[in-house]
Amino acid sequence: MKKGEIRSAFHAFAAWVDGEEWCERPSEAAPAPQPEAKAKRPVNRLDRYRVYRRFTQLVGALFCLTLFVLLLGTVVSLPPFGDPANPANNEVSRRYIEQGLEETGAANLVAGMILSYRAFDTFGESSVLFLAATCVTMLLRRDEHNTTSGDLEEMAQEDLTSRRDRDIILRTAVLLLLPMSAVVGVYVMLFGHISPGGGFSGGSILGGGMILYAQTFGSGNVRRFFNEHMYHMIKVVCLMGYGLLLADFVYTGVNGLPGHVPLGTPGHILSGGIILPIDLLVGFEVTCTIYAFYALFSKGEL
Amino acid sequence: MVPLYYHVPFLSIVLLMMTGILTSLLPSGKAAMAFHFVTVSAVFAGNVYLLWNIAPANLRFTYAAGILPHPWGNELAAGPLEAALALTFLAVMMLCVLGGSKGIFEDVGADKQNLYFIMCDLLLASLLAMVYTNDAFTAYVFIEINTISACALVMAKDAGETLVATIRYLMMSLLGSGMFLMGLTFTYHITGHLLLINIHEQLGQIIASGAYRLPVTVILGLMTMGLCLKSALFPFHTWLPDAHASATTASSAILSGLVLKGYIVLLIKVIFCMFGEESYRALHAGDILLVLGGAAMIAGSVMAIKENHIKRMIAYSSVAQIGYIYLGLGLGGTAAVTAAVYQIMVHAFAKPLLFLCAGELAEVSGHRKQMYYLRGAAHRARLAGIGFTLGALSMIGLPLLGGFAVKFFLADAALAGGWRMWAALGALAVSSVLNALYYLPAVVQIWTVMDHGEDDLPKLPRAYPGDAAGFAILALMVCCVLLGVCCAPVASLLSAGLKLL
Repeated sequence: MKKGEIRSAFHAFAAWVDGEEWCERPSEAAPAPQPEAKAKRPVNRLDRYRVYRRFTQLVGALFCLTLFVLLLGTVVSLPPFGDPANPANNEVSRRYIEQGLEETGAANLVAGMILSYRAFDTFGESSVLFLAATCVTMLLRRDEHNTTSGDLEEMAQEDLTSRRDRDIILRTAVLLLLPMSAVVGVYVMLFGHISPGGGFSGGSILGGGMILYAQTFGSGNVRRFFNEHMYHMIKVVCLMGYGLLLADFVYTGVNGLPGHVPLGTPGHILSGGIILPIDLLVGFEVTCTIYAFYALFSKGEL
Repeated sequence: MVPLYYHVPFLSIVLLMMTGILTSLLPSGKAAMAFHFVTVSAVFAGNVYLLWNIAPANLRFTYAAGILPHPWGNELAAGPLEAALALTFLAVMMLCVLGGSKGIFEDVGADKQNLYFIMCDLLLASLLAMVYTNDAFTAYVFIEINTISACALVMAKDAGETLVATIRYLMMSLLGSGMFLMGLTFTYHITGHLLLINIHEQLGQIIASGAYRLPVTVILGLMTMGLCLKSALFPFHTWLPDAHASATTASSAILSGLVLKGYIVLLIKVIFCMFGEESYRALHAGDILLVLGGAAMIAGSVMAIKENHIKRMIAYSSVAQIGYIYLGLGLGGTAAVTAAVYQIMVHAFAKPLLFLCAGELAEVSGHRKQMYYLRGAAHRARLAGIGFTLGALSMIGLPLLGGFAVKFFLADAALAGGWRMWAALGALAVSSVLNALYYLPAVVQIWTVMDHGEDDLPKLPRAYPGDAAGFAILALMVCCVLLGVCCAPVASLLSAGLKLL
């Protein structure tokens, strides 16, 4: 593509985003006839729009520049990074560091913080993921509205090619990589409360492995062990499990009762109270969601 | 053991989120809707129980959502103000979905209808979380949920224009979220806290000592501007008309009745619980809100006058009505902010009423929304016509309706004096006249009997709204009248709640 073409494609996209293509509404009032004296150079709507566009671009640039300078100035005047006298090093972080191990049972302080002290926020974050996947389903799942028969034919052709075209090097490499990604993913999930890691990162690794498998062996093979029904079941069971664990945790915590999930010996694999089960649940949910994103974006179905 | 009603805020949020999650297993939109109603009714009952218990005692309590209270763990807080707002949001959501259900089942594809209700559930959960949170970061997490689900509600009607409107809305909304998050990051850097109570304490000390002057100002600016962007205050309103006018009826009603309000409630929390009212006003942010609110009241109405598409007209009227809320916030003082919160409630009932009725009226006019085609529509759909008239009169500010009470409270609060009084009273007067200038012609238009001889419209059948839509319109009308008639007790409840913040 030449430079000019890229520019015009960009402009077309910008015009589409701005809504130029559809915003002409049905006849408002007929434009008033211009008086003869003033009509030296007829001002049409497009010209006026161009001037307006220039104006908004200028204002936008000015706004960005001001914001940039302001934010930079703010960052410079914030407390220096890593200084022990910073306001952020207060009783909150002290308690997390000094009593976190005892109160949450997690050797990994970050896991203890996000899944025990702030478990409610993290439930919200996992729901954001669920919500994003639902939105993508809403927008991209194939139905008669957004798919033509040509699309279907094209996809069938691709499937056929991938089945016929057995690339031995790629397949062997992927078969070697897959068990490793599965083991690493599960490890990261299982040990999230002891070492850096957790449900979100472990789930991404597992999901990445599934995408790799689907890319090499075709989505049909994935569907043999993971179809849409499975996807919904896993997602719902994981998030409901998290929700119920959280509700129980909060209920006992508020009433000052001992939690139902024992904290265990810190550093041991069975420790950390609700952190380990939540890490696993979040991990499987993330795995599903990451794969669902891939499948919906590329094929429009799971 | 803590009393049972302490658990209501947390359980409401988690129950609604779980309903949304479970809904993805339901096979049809009808089942999803029934499940939505069951949960929302249960949560509504719970919140009534909460308000019943805390309003007489004038009690505001915090609830540690975890093992530790502030400053360590997540926390929720509930008082009369929060409970009243939550009840409003729950009732309006239920009525919007009920009234727009026919449109949802027509506009959303058959296998995606249950997903629509997931969005409704999670949107409501996020609104309640914003109302009840006592933690700035929880607020941000639920802003994200709110943003995504609100965009999904716009794009659910799978048409070209809704997609474009969604992209615009998403861009503006994300800019707002980003600003809020940046403000929050800076706040954490200089205070070391995320819980509103502790931030308030620390910020008070910082402001008194005069340190970090630039960061404090920038935090205030970023948070206020981010929330103003998301609640479509006047110069930032450009995304609103397309998003509200092109979506399906229920989405339009939910978006302008509820979504905008959630962010304003959060802004009230930022002003009162985070900065403290005096510090906020000392930086002249209140005056800026006052001026922008007044400008919105006039500019929104002028833009609405120029519209001939009924849903766009109502959407621009939202810009003006949001201006009233900001005018109250900008005036400051308990009386004015009570008026602002009262406007949140009144507008939450009146705007969905207008959107539902407009949808109904357009439907009996062959799905055309230009004013020209709506002539005589009220005779074809009586109840919708009456509802539209009542909503319009409330917007104009006829006594005995909610809108009048708001204008009265605002004017009363503005009498404190100074240039603010003239600005507020002037904006109120001008905008009331302008409101009448576009709502009254619309009302006259829909009640004018069509002359079939000259008209090019085919003879349209009379239609009555279905039972569900009829009930929703009636209930919204009753709420509008109730808020106008019983304004004194509601306002005293709200102002008592405000004082506890």
